[in-house]
Amino acid sequence: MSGSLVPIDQNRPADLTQAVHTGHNYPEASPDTPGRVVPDVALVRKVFNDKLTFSDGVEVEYWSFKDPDAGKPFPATPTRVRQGQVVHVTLHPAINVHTIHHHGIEPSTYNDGVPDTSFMVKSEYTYQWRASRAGTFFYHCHRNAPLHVQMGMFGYLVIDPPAGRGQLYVGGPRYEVEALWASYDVDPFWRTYGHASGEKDAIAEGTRLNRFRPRYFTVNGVDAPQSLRSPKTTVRARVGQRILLRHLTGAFFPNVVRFASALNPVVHMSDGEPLPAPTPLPGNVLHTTTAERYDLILTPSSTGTHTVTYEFRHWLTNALAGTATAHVLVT
Amino acid sequence: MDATRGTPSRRTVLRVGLAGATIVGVGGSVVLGSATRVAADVVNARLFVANGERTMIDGLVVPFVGFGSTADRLELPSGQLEVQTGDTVNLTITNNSNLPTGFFVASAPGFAGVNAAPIPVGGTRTVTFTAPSRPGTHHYVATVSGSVATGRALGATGPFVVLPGSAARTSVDALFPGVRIRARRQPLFGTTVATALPTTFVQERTWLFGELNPDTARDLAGGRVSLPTDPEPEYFLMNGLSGMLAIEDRFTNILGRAGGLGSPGDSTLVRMINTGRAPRSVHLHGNHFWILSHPDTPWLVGAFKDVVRVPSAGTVDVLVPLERPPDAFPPVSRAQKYVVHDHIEMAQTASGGHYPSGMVSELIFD
Repeated sequence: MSGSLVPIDQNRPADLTQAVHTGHNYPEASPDTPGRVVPDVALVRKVFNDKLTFSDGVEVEYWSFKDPDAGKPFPATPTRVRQGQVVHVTLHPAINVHTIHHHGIEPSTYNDGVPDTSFMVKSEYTYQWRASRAGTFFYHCHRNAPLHVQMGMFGYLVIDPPAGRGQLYVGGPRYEVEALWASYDVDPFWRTYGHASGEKDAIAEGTRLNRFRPRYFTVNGVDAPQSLRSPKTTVRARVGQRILLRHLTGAFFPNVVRFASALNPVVHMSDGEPLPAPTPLPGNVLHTTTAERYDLILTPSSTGTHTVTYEFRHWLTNALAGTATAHVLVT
Repeated sequence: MDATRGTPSRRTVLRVGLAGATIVGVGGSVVLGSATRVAADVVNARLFVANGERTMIDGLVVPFVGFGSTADRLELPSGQLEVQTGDTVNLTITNNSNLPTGFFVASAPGFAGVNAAPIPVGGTRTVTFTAPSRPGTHHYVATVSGSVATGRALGATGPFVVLPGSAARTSVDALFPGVRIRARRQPLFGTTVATALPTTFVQERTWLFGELNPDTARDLAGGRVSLPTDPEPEYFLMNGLSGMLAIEDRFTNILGRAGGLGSPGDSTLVRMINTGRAPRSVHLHGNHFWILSHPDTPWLVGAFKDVVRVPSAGTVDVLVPLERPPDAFPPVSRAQKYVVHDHIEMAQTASGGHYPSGMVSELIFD
């Protein structure tokens, strides 16, 4: 915040009830996993930071999770396991304290990764759960969630049916090609905040996490002008092949996702459960808000570059704020 | 003025309007106490509109305009008006606020809606309308300064629930015909067929989501109308509460006994009403929930989801089955708690931060 001007909204008490203090006093701990067993699959996720570069040359910081052997991914290293497996995900926060909430997974409270109902991970914790559902999920930090999720602390969690890849769920559709496309909007000003910004006294600190004013609009961190050249926003297929698009709304602004009609999109699943019936997307348009997942089968009916357009609409006015794109290259 | 703490006189900066009733009875959703059935298909109810003040979770006192079921007490949100399909509803409304206020309920299939002309300051008028012909969830708004958006932004809203006349209010088929037969889910672990939508539910909740910006509210209570360019809200409310207060409110949180793996326990109908400008993206931890109604996407009805989009001024009804959390290992079913919150993350804040003092409550397994 600059200089001598004191905005009117600084001019109030922040603490008359003390009720807001519940938000910055969660315990930090590295406990043992209750009822720990030998898992079917064990993964490690470490917190790191790096930069995204947009087509105007501007670099914007991000924080995320990665497998220790991965480079510097964005979004976080995907976690991929099988339905029925007992899973271990060991978090090494490394920088500051964080949690992992596996969104759409329904474990015990102790393993849900929500500071409000459990704890924040100080140096290490192993989340243990068993995958009851196949489908598309995601994982993210739940500490100071508005800030940490916007900074990039999220990634895909994909659960294949017991037989593995190639079928969406037991009894569900088969697919030959797969795309993981997550919408994500970026407010560079939020990069001026620190990990704990706003937790203790947002008014005195001048934190404004209710003000999200994105300037970059992406799929998987790639903005529209770069999208045709990036492997993160392109997928190749042949006419008639079935492409599974695992859509994740990582954006904070609502998305209107428009599919080229030649992709013939059919929605099969959402949030890890099949829809009442596979549904050809009416008008080839999907309206979606933060954290929803949709699994669509795209069956291209002609060759060419078929584009999926992601509109980001202002959350209060519905005005078009920006657009991102991803492409199916059909031969 | 500088931002020092605990100076009561600063509250007068935002105090405005007539010296009206102070807010009491925050938290919903309590049934409107002044509604009575006077004949087989006639409901009379009494509402009073007045200026008041409410205290936000950080202590800021904010002006608002709201309803009460008596003249001396405001309720936030206003009481849940419950009628049966096709009832004649006679609402006698007294306007004790400082602005002309009308009464509005949006139209819906099987319902013409209500849009009563503004009642002058100090006046009383009876608004008569026919209840919807189908069961469902709606909300009523006091149009302030001629504007529905202004009434919503000031908190002058309450739930309006239409029940079936000749069936139990806990019957899923009577309330949401045709949904149970559509409902579908995958086999647990790929092998175990689990219960789809249960036929009845054990308890109900209404979640009326609202937004508030204190500076905007001050201006609106002084006579300005709500504009699309109004700044971002600073408080995000469920039944008039936020943060730990919404978590602990027994009318907002869901408390019950878990059932088995893939089978329901104290299943709970939740009526989600969004009176804010933004959509809500409501996410429940611990259980998925069945979509029983959706205002603009019929292909989602009968789906079992963990996030649902509730459009501005829209309503979504869901059923939370309270199954044993299916992914817990070792298995658990007792003494667990899970959050429910708007996943559009700005709505988890209060006064610009203080996560999670926004739209959050809990699902608590006994």
